Amino acid sequence: MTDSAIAVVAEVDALDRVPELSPGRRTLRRFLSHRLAVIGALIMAVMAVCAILADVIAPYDPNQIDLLHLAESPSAVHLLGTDAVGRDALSRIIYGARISLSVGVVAVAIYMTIGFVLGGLAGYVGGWADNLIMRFTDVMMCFPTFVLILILVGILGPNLSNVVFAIGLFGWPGIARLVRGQVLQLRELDYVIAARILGAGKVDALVRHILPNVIGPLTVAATLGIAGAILAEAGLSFLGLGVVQPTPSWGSMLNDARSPAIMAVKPWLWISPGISISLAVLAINFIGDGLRDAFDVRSRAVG
Amino acid sequence: MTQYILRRLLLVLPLVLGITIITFTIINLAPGDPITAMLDPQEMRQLTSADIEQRRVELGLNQPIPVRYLIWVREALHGNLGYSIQEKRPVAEMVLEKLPASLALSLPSILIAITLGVGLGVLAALRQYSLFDYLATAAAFFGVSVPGFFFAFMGMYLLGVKLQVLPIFGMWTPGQPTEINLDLVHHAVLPVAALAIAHVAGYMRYARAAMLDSLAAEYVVTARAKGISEVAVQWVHVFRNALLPLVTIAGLALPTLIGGSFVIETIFSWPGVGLLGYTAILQRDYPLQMGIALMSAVAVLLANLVTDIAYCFVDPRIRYD
Amino acid sequence: MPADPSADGPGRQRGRSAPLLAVRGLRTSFFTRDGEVKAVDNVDLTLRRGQTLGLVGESGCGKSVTSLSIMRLVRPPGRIIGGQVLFDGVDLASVPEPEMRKVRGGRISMIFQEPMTSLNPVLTCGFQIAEVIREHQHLAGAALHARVIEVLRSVGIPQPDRRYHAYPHELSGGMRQRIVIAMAIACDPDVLIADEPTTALDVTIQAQILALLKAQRERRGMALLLITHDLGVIAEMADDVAVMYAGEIVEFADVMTLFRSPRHPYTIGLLNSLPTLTTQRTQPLHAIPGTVPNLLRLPSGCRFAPRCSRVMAICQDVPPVLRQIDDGRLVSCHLYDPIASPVVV
Repeated sequence: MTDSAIAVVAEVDALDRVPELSPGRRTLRRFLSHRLAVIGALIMAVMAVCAILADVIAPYDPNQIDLLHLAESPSAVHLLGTDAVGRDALSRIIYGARISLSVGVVAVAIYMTIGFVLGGLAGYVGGWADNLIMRFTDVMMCFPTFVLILILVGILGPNLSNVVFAIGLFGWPGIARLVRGQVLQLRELDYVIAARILGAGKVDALVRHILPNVIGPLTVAATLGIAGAILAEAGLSFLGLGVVQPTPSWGSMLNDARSPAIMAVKPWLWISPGISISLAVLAINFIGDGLRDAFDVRSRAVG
Repeated sequence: MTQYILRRLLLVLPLVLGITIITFTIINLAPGDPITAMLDPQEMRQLTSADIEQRRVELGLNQPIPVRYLIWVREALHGNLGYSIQEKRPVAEMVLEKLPASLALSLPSILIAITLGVGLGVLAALRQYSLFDYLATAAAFFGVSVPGFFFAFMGMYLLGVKLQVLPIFGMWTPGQPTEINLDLVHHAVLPVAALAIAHVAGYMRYARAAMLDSLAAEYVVTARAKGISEVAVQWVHVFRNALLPLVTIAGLALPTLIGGSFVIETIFSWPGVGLLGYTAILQRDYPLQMGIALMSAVAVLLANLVTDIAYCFVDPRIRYD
Repeated sequence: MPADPSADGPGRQRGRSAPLLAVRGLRTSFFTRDGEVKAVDNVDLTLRRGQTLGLVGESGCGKSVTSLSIMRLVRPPGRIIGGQVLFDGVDLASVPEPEMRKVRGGRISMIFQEPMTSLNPVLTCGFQIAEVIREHQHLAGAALHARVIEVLRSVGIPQPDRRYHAYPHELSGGMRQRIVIAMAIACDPDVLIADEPTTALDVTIQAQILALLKAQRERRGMALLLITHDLGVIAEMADDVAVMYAGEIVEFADVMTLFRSPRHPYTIGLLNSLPTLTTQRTQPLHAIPGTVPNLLRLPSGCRFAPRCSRVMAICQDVPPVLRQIDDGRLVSCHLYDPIASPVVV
């Protein structure tokens, strides 16, 4: 045994001190021992709360115009200042969380489904289906995803559902490849073959043996995918092709502050949305890292 | 090895085919009369509606879709990707015109991303758990999380407006000669930085992970057991193996680089293909949009081809398949 | 099937020759997030010229870490925390690293279990052998190439000129292990440590590799430290045997005595668990009940007590000490302690 292997065995033994823990609980414990991941999860929880309870939390209506406080720097009345039209920045940030998170989650859900179906089919059925689906995936991966999304939203017109649709429509190739790879690997594993010999049907084998193993990488991919979708939506809104006014989005807030006049003189207007986007993506990346370590039993657990 | 290269080259053809099919499909989904896109506008003005009908027949626009597709491909192979609606010039010509400007940003970005990113990642892995490693990893997290356009804002604000050391608009200072000179470099610093940071961070993480995987391998213990110096172990054994996954992901930056250029060039008013594409979208110039999409896809395809072939030089295991 | 150790094969020496390398009181621990893993706890070993010491034990008992400690190849969070490795008048455990590097590969070599993973896949076999020769014998160019060919030939690799430029994945398992052995003996080391050299190989190839090791040992007068869990290999190759359990040596004897009359309950259990020619198909196989202790939470008292069929009250509280019970025999068990167990079993 190599020395690092010994350390891993000791560590895994230590964590498995209570052998009755199910694999799910064990993964959770590993995740929680990852400091950054926990921090990320907390940040995400705060943002989720903002998104869901925006109506309750936000001090002002995000589209309410306050003519007395036009483009003011942060003050007691408006904690993050106001924009050129007099809207409260803090409220817009809080409502912006709603847009970013919902776009992220829904778009990813869409393309995870597409990718899972296509990849699973390709891997499990094999043959011509595999060939066809994989060539299609290869072709789609040649197109820069962001460009395709931009073009589609340009054709369909910028609004929330089109943004979600476009991101969801073009995000699946990576997932398809991932799922196919997993299915191919697992299909050949001895215990799956054993299960089949013992009489398990095709679907049964898929669900009970293959699925639990695919969950790990898929969860990580989904998590990181949400980060990507948030960045995509921000980029789209920044270019004016995402969520349109007056709906508050972090990306469009950045767009509002793009002119040299505002950027130089009223930096608070772009610092808060910029930090919000960065914080959200950072938190998700932390979570993704923690998930990746939690699911990987063979990770270098040496501390 | 030649067999592998030949087979890889052969794979290019169905992929190009697929790219053209996808592009063609999206063109036809877009609203607008295709004839305006395919005829030279100069010509069009002199034609009567009967003539236009005749041209429509000639160009096969009344034919079933598969035939139209083939005609379109034929045209594309001759360099005719249609005519831009807004500028009434051939799309291919417009794109090639703006290409050097985009390359002036993307080539330095890729070079910086690879050298700096891989370099930092390798060093971080060799000094795992050190302060350098933690700082580098933290920086990498920030690099992939902060969007490029936010970096651009911060750079523009700090260095462009407050400290006034870097310009934030265009490729050259108005009045200066428009050639490859210091002025150009000066203008390129901020956009290249904004484009490159995310990729530096990404490559850094990959390189670090690849090095750590390689460091944990059995052959490293064997190499040390032979009594060779630690430096030789790190470079001849560890790095040489870490190179394999790195070559694979070398081309990965290109699609995001192209997408990113749409945003960054817009911010800095840098007249490249990205800005061209963005205005094309705003102005519903579908032929131009699709021309850019097509050329981007082909560029990515070629980049992947190059990295795949490079890989077979680096990994002896797949050479004799 | 273990060979009958009472058969006196050629080269099997009676009596022990001069010590070449002596490990005294070696302690190596891994300092993990959850505590100290005492992988090697107070181990003594002696390697003698031209003779083979077998180190036997289950996976995780610390035998590999012992060999890595001798070579000073233990990496953080592992560390040698005590003891000496005496070689040629020097304590290897405390020499500066540049000195140690001269020893590694040049005077003490090591071969590992899995030839596919212990060879670098992107470098040619010839290069990997040349590396060690260049480092210790300072040859270069044509002389270096010639020496590599010579070494390849001596380990029985056909067409060495062609094999020089071959990559590990192009060779069979047996050939790869020969390459690994070639790297190890290229500089005529005094000591060769073989960590499970045949475990990953087919049985027929195993025999060839063992024969090769024996031949090399004869020819060069090396001391061989053979680490394995396979008692058959021990019976075939070893002159003396040390049995390890949970980081400690529990028994030591020459190979014939060990197989004929094992003393420690663990050794007895190991030997009993081997089916023999006379074992009936319907007989259940003896397995030692229980599992290896978690090295983070070792039991107080004897580490084998939880699984021992002859456990006594004292075993739970007081750890036994390795003591001599006969000429050249050592056992660490209260059953043989005249004070704890006055009636000799």
